[in-house]
Amino acid sequence: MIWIETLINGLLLGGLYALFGLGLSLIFGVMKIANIAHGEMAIGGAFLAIATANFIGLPLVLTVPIILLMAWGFGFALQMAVINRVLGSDPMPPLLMTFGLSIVVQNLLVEMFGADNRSLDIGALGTASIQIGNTSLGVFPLLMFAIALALFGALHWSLHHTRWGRNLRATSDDPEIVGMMGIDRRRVFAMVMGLSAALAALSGMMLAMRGSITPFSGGERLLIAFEVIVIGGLGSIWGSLIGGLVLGIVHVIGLRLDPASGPLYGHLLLLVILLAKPEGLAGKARSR
Amino acid sequence: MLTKSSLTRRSVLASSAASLGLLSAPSIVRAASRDIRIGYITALSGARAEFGESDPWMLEQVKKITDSGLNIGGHNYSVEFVVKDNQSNANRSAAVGNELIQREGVDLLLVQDLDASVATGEMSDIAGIPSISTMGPWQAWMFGRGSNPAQGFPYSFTFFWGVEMAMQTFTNLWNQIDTNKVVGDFYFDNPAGQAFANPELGLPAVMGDAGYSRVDGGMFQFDTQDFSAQVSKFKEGNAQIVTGFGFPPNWATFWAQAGQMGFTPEAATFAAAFLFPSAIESLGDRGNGMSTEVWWTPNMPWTSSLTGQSAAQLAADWEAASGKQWAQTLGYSHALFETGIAALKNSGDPKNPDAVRDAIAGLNLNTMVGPVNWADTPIKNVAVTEVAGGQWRKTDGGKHAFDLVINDNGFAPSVDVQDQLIPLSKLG
Repeated sequence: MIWIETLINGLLLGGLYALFGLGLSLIFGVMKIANIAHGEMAIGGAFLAIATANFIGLPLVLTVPIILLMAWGFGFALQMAVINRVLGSDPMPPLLMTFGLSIVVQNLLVEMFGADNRSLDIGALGTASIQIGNTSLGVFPLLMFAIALALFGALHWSLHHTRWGRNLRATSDDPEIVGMMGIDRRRVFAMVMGLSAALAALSGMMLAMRGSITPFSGGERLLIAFEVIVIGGLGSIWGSLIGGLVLGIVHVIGLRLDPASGPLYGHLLLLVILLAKPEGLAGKARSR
Repeated sequence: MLTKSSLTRRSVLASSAASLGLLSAPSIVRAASRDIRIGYITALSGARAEFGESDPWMLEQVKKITDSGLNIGGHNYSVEFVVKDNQSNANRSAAVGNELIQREGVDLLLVQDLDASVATGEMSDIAGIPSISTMGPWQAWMFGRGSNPAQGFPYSFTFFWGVEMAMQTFTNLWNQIDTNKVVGDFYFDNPAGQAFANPELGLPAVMGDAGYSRVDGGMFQFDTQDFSAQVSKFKEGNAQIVTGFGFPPNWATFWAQAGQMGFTPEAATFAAAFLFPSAIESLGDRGNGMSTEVWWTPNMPWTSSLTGQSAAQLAADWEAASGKQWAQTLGYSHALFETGIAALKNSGDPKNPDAVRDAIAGLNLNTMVGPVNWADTPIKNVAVTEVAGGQWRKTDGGKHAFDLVINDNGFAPSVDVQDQLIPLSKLG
């Protein structure tokens, strides 16, 4: 019984992890670059939400969509104004660029909010639970999991059934050729970066609703996002979901067996995957 | 063959070393002056930000007294405080401690954070700069640095209660209610948490002696965001009491997951997490009935050796100035300044570190938290103070959302018991 509960809790945590990985995976799949500032984008979004909800007093149902839009705009503008300029055959300049950005954002957050722990208060929803057999499950973790699944589904559907998705897949396949078909790849890149930033902000806000964050939480989230996409398979959307769920389960079971282990077992899993199946669990189903 | 140029690597190094020497020279001149510099390390941000919240205000109160200087040994010394925020971080503590001792050249170090006092205690002993610390159980401060009550330390001193006092207070509290005597415990992995979790001297041993059995939830790391493993373990072991050590964000995550997973203990006594009313208020209605160790309350019969204020007055002044409820740290933060200034005065020569050190070692002072006595203590460099046990109760439209009610005074005879502990199920 207790193991079923542990497994379910791992799955629910894994949904959040998968969401962290998804944004990073999108960028990697389309632009073939790693966004080191992904964790800071998540935490930055969460802090903006905390400022809006706690200091201005806007209700959360309004705050979340506003922050998502702002994050999308930030990602789009960032790509158009900065990252597109350094994007080329050499992966180093965009890597260094986003690394620098992560440091700037982190220090801005410390300057503005201090190093305190902060969280987004969701009131009674935070402790609400439903009883299934002998197990009671939190409503909020279930809700987060459902949102994550819905987002994965929606993204998969729009990639395969919309014009936008086709442009995106084509750009991912060959960014040089799509130009001849009248697609502006810089715009496609910017759309993807906007989407990735919005996904990051969403996962950051969920993290702040679930527990608490500090301006320094970003680095650790980036590590989780990287582990998710490496375990799942680089650049694959469903790989991110599988990677997230597997990592969540391993973390919770690891903490169950040895509470002092922290993220150790997740790191070990990453090592095992790198040795045994370097292309990731869903490696064959790569989008490219 | 190399030609001799006017600017070789060696000459540059030599001249820059010389100029550095010149730059640092003023500190030697300063050492002979009549300016006392006091370094103050506190946690103004980070996980323990609330511990330092009242410090800027407290410092203003103290400065009113020291602004005209201190008259010591017939000379008037000016006093300057250099305040550093350690961001509740052990690494940062070491950095600011180094800065205060090496660069600022302070004459006395006052430290209001356990992470910082463990890190800077070593520096203070090595550099020969006396330091006084508080707000950390003395065992964590002493054993964590590899000393013992007979050996002590050359220059670092602390005053606080001991973990065994808080832990026996916990079992005293639980004895007041009907339970199955099964306790689930889990601890934050830092020096204080390790002192609480110690199997021979810590809570596990104290609980065993008092007839309580234990469901071991282990230690957890700083960034742990999921306590479902502990919750399901406690639920499975049918624990009716939860205890351990950690900070408000840790407890908030644990308590939310406990609610989600249907774990409803009769008592929640988590050291360090429930010190502040803000932590209880952030839990909403689910904060009602949390029980805690109590360091200091406005009901204590003590007065300040600096200002003559009573405990009740100090709390009232803080509430008036800040608009916030009094907090237990007020007393200790005040007493830290009391002991520091008393030691400087008694030393006769505050610029002589050894004289100040001897003055601290010989101090027996009645402070805001009661007697702080290093002069005749069985534990070298440690002055032991009182600790009580209490429970946060929701008020019915009172001045504050929650009031702290004293339930046990076994280790704090100076404060009166107000009521018995009430089980969580009866509080609703």
